[in-house]
Amino acid sequence: MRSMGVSYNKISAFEIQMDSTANLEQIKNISKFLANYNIEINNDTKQQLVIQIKEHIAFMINNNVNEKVSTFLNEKMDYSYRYLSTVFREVTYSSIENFYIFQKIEYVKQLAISQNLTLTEIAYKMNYCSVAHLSRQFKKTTGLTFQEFQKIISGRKQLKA
Amino acid sequence: MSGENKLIFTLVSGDENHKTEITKGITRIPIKTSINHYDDCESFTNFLESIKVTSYHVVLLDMDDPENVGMECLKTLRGDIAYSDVVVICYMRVEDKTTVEQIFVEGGNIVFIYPKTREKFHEVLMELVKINWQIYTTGTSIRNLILKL
Repeated sequence: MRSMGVSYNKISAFEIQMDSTANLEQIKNISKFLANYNIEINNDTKQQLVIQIKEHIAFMINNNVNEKVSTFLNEKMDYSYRYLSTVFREVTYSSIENFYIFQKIEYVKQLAISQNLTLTEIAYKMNYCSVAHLSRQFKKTTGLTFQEFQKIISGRKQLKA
Repeated sequence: MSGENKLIFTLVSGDENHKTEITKGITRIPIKTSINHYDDCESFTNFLESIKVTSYHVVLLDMDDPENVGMECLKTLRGDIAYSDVVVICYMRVEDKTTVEQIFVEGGNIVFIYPKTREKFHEVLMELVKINWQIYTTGTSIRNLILKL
């Protein structure tokens, strides 16, 4: 982008902010270039809000923030949780809560696969109030019990070997 | 809906009714979609080889085919690293635990039981849209994506 005469700041691993002085021609050229990599320039305020919500949720999961997602987002963002929920659902058809739980369970799977942790160990590591709660959430989200999931992963390893 | 959320479905099934029902169901989803249909694994893989597969592709496999076309396609897809990012959704009419487990072990991502009503079918498709959005906008690993709807 700098070679096209546009400066930018890196906001996160998935997001940059372009210099506001970039002209239309420069933006068109960048859009065309980025399209080759399936990357889009985002001018939509609602989508930008959704991106921020996702990043806060990722932070919560990766840092074991033991707070309600609504409380955390209220603290971090300048909008009411009600407004954020409405925008999130409008853009993604999913509720913030569902998204949060889905992401948490993806993290549970990662821990089970990469660190071979048991459900008890994962529940403790992720501050779940009980193993039973995590077990129910896992089944509800994936449609499988944790034991069934482990059996599949073990089957995949055997198939690869 | 977000521009990120356009989906290209490729259905492999020899069942003409499914082709019609799935095509109709997909047109009811409130995002941009398109669908391709193939009866057998060979024409399906020829199609894949002829296009640039992107993250917007979702493959739907009918696992009840008497000639086991669905499982053959799944093994072909997962045996080629070029298609490792494609979400593979398998469906069957009646749940069979052994087949479900085999699908996941072979690398299938999502399994659903073919719904008996249009409304239920719409719900399943919407669930797929939501899951797809989550995968492609969060960097969720497709390898770990194992869901039974």
